[in-house]
Amino acid sequence: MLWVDKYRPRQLDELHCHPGVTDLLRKLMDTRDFPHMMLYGPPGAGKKTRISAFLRGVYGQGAEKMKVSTRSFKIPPSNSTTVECQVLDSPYHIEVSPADVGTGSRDTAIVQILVKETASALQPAMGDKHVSFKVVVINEVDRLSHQAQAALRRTMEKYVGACRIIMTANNFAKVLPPIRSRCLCIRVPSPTNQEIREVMHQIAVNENITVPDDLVDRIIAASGRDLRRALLMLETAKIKHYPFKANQKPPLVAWEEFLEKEICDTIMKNQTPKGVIAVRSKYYDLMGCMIPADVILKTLVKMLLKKVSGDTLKSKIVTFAASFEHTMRLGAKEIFHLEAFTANVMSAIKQANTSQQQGGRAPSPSGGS
Amino acid sequence: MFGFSQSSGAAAAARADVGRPAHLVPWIEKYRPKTMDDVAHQEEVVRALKSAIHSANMPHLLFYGPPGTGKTSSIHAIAHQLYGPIYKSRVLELNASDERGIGMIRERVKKFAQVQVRYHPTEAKEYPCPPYKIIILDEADQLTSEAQAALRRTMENYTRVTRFCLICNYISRIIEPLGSRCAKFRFQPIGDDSHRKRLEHIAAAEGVKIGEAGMTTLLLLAEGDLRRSITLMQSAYNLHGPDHHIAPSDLLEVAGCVKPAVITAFLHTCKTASSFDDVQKVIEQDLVAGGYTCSQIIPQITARLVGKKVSEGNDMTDDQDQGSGGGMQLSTELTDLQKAKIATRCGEVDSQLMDGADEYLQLLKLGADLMNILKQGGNNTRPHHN
Repeated sequence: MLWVDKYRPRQLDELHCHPGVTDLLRKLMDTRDFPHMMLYGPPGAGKKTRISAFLRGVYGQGAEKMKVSTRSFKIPPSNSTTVECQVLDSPYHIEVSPADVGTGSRDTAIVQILVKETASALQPAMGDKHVSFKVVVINEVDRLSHQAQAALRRTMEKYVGACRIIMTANNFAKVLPPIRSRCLCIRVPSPTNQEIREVMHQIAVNENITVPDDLVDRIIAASGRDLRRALLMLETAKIKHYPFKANQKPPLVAWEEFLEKEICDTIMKNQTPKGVIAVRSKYYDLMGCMIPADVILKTLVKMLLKKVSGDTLKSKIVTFAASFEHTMRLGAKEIFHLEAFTANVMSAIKQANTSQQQGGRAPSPSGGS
Repeated sequence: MFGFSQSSGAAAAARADVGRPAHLVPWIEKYRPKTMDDVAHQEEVVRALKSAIHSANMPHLLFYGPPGTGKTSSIHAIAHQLYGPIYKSRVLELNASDERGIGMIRERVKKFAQVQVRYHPTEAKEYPCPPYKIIILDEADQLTSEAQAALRRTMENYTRVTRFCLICNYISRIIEPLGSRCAKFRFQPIGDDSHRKRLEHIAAAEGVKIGEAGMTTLLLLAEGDLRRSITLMQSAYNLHGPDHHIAPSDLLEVAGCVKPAVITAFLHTCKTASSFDDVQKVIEQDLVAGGYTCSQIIPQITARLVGKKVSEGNDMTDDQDQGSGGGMQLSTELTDLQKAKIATRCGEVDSQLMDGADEYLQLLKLGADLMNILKQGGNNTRPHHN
């Protein structure tokens, strides 16, 4: 079992980070009644862990007996198309990520059908604690279509007696205001460096390993304060080399390593048309491995920002990145925009390297869709 | 789609409330005005509508105005005053977000209008009970223009037994022929005085502890939207329990606002940072990891730009700093050119975000731009490309 799962807190009392949020959940748990809720914050901040600990507190251990099933939903009004969607359910609650099946009438249907069914299949006095309603957990509400969110708003009001909805979101701003105003919104920020450090130390003690402090620091820096990522890195590092070497680097995911060595380095060293062509095929390799282009671009920007120097150059790079990521969303072929970004960045680096004077002729983008 | 029964949205909500513990009933429902006299702030509209009630002869109505100004509440209050106990059989509420098609509306309206009405039913003697029914079309600006066009004839066909009440935010989205059939009423954003009075009334009735600073923040955050301010107050109350004294920072938190101190720190870094790395660090550590998003930050930066009170008020009343953060009042510090440049950048970023661009990258770009503009008076070169 992975450490992330093995040491995932099961109860609210075991949670390390954000005592404020945990306190609030405990209060709600004790009243045995709570409004609809939305937890929002960056990935790896502990939104879902909190929710499952909270549900366990509300319903007792039964809430942990989850099973995965694939359900099919008929899409109204014709009912001729069906979509399949994986749901996780326990006797007391059901968890679903409707955004995965596509937007428009699809996620709308799932949201409505699921809440309606859950609310109507009411069993009195459920769980150890006799709670009279069920819970629907909806992940990634921010990714739901406008239509689905609008439908949710009506559904939330109608069935509030028999069914409470707990939602998670990464981007608070993408959730419709009417939904926000119907639930208790709780912000869950990333854990602080100190909190991550404590968790890692705790695990090191439990696993009976020694982790040097500088490795911990490097892992925290590389994880971007994402606790899940930090723990996975620690475990990978242990598998790769234990006892830990001095100066051991926190392990990168394979594709990131590839990105750094093959693409980032080429951009830094070889700013020629040939370099662009070489990089291009590398991009294709990555995208062939189902790495989304925007993730590639984001990761690449972070790497480049570490390597280049000079604020003018950095500001150029982020401007290019923002602009080409934007056109990438609008266009169809992602590779063009990655290439255009690469070419522009290369030319900017070359300019910075060769000439001291600024404000030379601006490079023109070589791609577009 | 669900087949909705005859019940209006409000009635459905009321039924769902049964068996709910009192603290979970939304205050916006609990304190919805029951009569026209209770409707806050809209004196002119109230006067006009009252005379309509007394003559018991109403034209079709069109209510428009920003959210949370009492449009739906007014029509509900009128209907209750007109019909009293037989409200349900005389009022049909259609929510345009749910049932968009004109086919649906036509069918429902037809069915509803078919049943004849009596002038003075015995069960509601003391009410005026005029011999028509009211059909409320909420969010009428969401209807397609085809549906609106089809509605014209429907409205005329049933004038004898029904009055329509269209409710919308943007009157420009209502087609002309539909607008000309109705008496138009504009609802204004709730003024601070009546807004405050209403909030104080609710706070007293619910035992909410909120001070002067909290009330001011609430008014600033709501911008004339009474529903928003009530919801915010209730969320803060639910979040912290009845004994807690609600502070401005609690309200900012439930409103999903970025803490003013965080924005101040961000701007301060952009201005004084020795290199872009510092800006990047603030973005990653404080903003992104804090769970804030770019689309939340931009409105707050622009608010400071024009020196809107909301930022000043918050900075002053916010927990800690007056001195250290006071250095970033954008409205007074910058030249007009700098302000214009920042506003342009914010606009660009916002529009790209609307297209679905990545929050992190846009934030980085915004940081880089702000740094250029704040540091060097905005004369730095910025790469031009399309």
